[in-house]
Amino acid sequence: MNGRLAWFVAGTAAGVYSTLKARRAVYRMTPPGMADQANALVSGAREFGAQMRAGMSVRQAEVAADLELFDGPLDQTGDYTDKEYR
Amino acid sequence: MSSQNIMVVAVIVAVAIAVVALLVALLAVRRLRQFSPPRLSSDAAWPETMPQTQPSHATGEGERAIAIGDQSAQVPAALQARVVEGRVVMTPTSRQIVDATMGRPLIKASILAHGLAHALRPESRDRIRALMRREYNRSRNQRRRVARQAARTHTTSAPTIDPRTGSATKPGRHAATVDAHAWLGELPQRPSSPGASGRLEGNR
Repeated sequence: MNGRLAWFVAGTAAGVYSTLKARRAVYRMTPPGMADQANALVSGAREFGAQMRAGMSVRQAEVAADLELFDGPLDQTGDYTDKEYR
Repeated sequence: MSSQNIMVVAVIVAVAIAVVALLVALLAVRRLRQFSPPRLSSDAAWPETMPQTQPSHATGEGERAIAIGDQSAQVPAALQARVVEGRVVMTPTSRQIVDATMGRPLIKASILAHGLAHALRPESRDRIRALMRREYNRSRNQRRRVARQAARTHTTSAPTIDPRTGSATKPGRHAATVDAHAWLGELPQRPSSPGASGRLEGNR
């Protein structure tokens, strides 16, 4: 009896899970699903660009510090935030 | 020798001459760029920010300082242009050195590679993935919520006018169609109020 109940519960859970996954997969293939994915991709690309610019500004500051000519911070665009040079 | 062979030889010679001319032009342009005057910084405030340093070396024989425009009164003596053995020598400013260093291809590549590595490190990667997943789930949930609300409003309201066909529809008759259209439609800018008149225009 316990074995049958366990199999019933397992089958029900598998059915619910597979149904959920199948519905989500079908939704991804629809036009609104594709639009949502495109929006998410654009957001990800924007965040990736922001992270990349941050890393580039860090590297620029390191190069400028290696030159020992400038010790000011760099902004997001890679330019110097203040124009004070040594 | 047939005329076709003569034409082929003529074309080959013409192509060779054209390639040689192109190479000569490229070399000439490179030479001209080498002899072009150094680009002065466009920062108008640079004379005020220049370090007020003393000349580190005395002007020896054969060297003489020259004035360029009105900068002789503002530029320190160490940064003034001078002529050494017939050549004009200008001490670059700090800004010019930094700009020139940042503009070198290897430095640019290094900065770009560092930015890429920074963006692809595990922390940034996980953050970007989570952001994309949250954005996708938010859009999907909002679309489902709008669809359910549209279907519920349509089934419980009075007969409305179908905006596509212009015909009156009974409550609950085309609930599945309305649900599908709301589900496939564009997301609204702001969620409609539950006490709406039951028309679908508010949800589209």
